[in-house]
Amino acid sequence: MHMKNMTKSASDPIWTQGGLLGRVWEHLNRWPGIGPKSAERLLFYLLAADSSEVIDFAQALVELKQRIHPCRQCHHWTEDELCSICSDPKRDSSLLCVVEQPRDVIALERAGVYRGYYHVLGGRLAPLEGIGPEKLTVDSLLRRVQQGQVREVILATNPTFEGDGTALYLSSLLAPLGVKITRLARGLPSGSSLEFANSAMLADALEGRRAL
Amino acid sequence: MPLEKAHALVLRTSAFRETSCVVTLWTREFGKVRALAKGGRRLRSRFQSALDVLHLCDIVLIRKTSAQLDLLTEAHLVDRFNVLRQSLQAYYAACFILEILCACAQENDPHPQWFDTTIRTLRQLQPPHLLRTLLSWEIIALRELGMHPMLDQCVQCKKLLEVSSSSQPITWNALAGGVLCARCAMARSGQRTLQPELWHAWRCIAKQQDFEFPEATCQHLIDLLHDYWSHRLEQPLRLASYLSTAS
Repeated sequence: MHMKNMTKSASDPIWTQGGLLGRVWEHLNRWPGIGPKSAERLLFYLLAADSSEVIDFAQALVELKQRIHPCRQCHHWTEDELCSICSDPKRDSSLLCVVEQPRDVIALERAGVYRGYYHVLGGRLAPLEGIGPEKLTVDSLLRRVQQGQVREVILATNPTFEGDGTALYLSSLLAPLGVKITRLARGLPSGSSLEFANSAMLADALEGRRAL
Repeated sequence: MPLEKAHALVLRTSAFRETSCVVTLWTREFGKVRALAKGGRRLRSRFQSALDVLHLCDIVLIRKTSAQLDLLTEAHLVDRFNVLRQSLQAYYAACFILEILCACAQENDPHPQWFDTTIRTLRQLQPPHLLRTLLSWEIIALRELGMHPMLDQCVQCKKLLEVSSSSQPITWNALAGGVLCARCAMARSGQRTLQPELWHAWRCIAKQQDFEFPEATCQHLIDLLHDYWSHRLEQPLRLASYLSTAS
């Protein structure tokens, strides 16, 4: 979560003291990546922009919250019952890629290599923060795999301590179902050189080496 | 402002603004430290991949004398404890250690011996001796924190518990902080009985004696200790249920 200091200081614009301008400015200032100055710039832009453009934007925001919901199957954001990926029959139904967040689906799709389906967990296992399996879409994942079409589950959780823990937990549940379980490779980025790689990258690359 | 070097274990990271993060570190030299790592979330930051939970790093930080956060200027990864990422039980055990450290480590209160033991433990946490390794760590942690219960004498009247009486169940009171003799036990409430083999195993581990005992005894002792931690920390332990499920 982004931490923002919402207390008013002498350098804050005069409209932070209230009124409609202040309300809009405060809303903009809460958005990720938007500081007080950027919020001020956006506010001036909205004031100067065509009324139709601003109203269109406001309506789009309202519709966004009313019509976008998680896909019934993979839990990625969608406008329909099934998202565009789940409703694509040309995809490989034997492959299922498990990711933490909907943003990870977009990142993987951008790579343009993967042709299977996805499953969005909605977070990662973080026992210390009270995030257990019951807060993730684990049950729905197991149901999908039990349907029998999936042959390989790719655990694409982040390569962090908690991401690895989540992958371990999922593999302990999926192993009895008889599917192949894989984890995304990690190590050296393409186009880099060994000289500048850190020890962790090199260790990962050596551990995950493959035969040619 | 002084520039300090330290060995540190990352306890927690939280995002700060777009690319930075606030890290909570447990250092061998200064105890718990909270520091700002500017640009720490960038893929190509100077901290590289050092700032993840339970990573052991060599760090350089600028210590602030005021209430401000310290500033982390360098972090080099020393160990990622790969064994923790190979078994779910080891992962939960490591999370349990993390929970205790987050709750008990204090600023300006270094425990170099406990730090070294923790690093050794994190390297050894793997089946089949996982529970025994965790148990030893917990007992050392309790001793370092001055919370280890009295096992050899009655916590109330300080009378030594006779070895000959160890064939009978012993009265244990977590709230009182140890075992009670028969006479004191009658006067207090909230105690439970401790089987002699459990009491004996605990004393052996506490004295770092080599002693073989069944895995079930180990599990019972772990449960008893978790109960005791909860009493001392005045909060239930989140990882206790995970550990009993995984085993």
